[in-house]
Amino acid sequence: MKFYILLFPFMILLFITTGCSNRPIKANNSGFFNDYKNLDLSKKIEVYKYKDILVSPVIVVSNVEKKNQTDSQKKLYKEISDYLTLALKKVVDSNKMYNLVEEESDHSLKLESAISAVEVHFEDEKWNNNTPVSLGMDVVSYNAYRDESVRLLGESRLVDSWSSEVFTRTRSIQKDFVISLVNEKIEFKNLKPSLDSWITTFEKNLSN
Amino acid sequence: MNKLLLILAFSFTFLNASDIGVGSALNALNDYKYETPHGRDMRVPRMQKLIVVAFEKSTGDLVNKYLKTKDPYYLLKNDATFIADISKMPTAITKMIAIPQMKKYEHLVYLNYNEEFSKSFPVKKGTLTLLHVDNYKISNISFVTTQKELIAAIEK
Repeated sequence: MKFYILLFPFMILLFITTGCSNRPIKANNSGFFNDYKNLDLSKKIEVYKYKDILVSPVIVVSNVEKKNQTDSQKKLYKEISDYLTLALKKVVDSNKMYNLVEEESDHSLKLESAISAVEVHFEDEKWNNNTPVSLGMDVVSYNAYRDESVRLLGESRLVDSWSSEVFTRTRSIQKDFVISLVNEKIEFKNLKPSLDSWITTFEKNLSN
Repeated sequence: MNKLLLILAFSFTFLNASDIGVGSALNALNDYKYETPHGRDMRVPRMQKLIVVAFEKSTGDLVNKYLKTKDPYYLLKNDATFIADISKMPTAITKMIAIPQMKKYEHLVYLNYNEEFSKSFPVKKGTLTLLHVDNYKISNISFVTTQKELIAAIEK
């Protein structure tokens, strides 16, 4: 009896200190942006001050732990990053408002970007279409791919190269391009239409 | 007239309850929320032949014990989903013992925290509820208590 009398307050204390919720905290974004608030942030960029853009390598947020990545996955993610980085550089280079540069300066912007995958269910109002999913097969993503519920998410921001002040943030789910597995793997050629779609969206945003 | 309105209102409420039974669309299961032990939201997939539902620790343990001996994709490749209703588990036990244990599983478990879930499902004490699915609809419901019966249903 004494044991239970002593145990009870301990359990209460444990419960309080560990939080009331019995559920783990879930991630509802890729992690590239801390959150998706103020996504319409778009400060008027003082064009006379900022003419140069430095393009950072595109980050691939795979949601596959590095230690678990296969060689083919590592190769794929590098291929995606290289392809997108080169494409974004071409977009900046061909834009009449900006110059593509390779070094930071006090009058340059830095373009930071990331690509990831999300599980979507557009017909379900309760489902969060920002739910991250692995760029590859795992027990969680297996049926999302089978059900054709995976899309690419492209995120980018323009920041002052030196102060890191954020001027624009954009995110875009490529809704029309289903990402599928081929023999339980993702192949670059299956991703390419979606990647190209995001590049086109980026180009339009940069010109606005 | 008032009695008629009352009957109609009651009937409407009853008809709108999400009772899962033979003939129910598989997608009706997605009226409820599910999470992995790591807190990731999940939906019951479309192409499933079997939904295994455990409402008690003992029956949940039966499933988990078996799945731990198999490849992590075993259920998935047999077009089956495992749902564990942990809504009645005390919060402290869930947080301090059950979740940490389940996070170690390599196989997928859908956790339900909603107490209304079991009210909509056919439940028999001490058994697993098996929803057999054909053409995106629940075609049959059975109740099993042994690993042998479970395996037979999964690998059918």
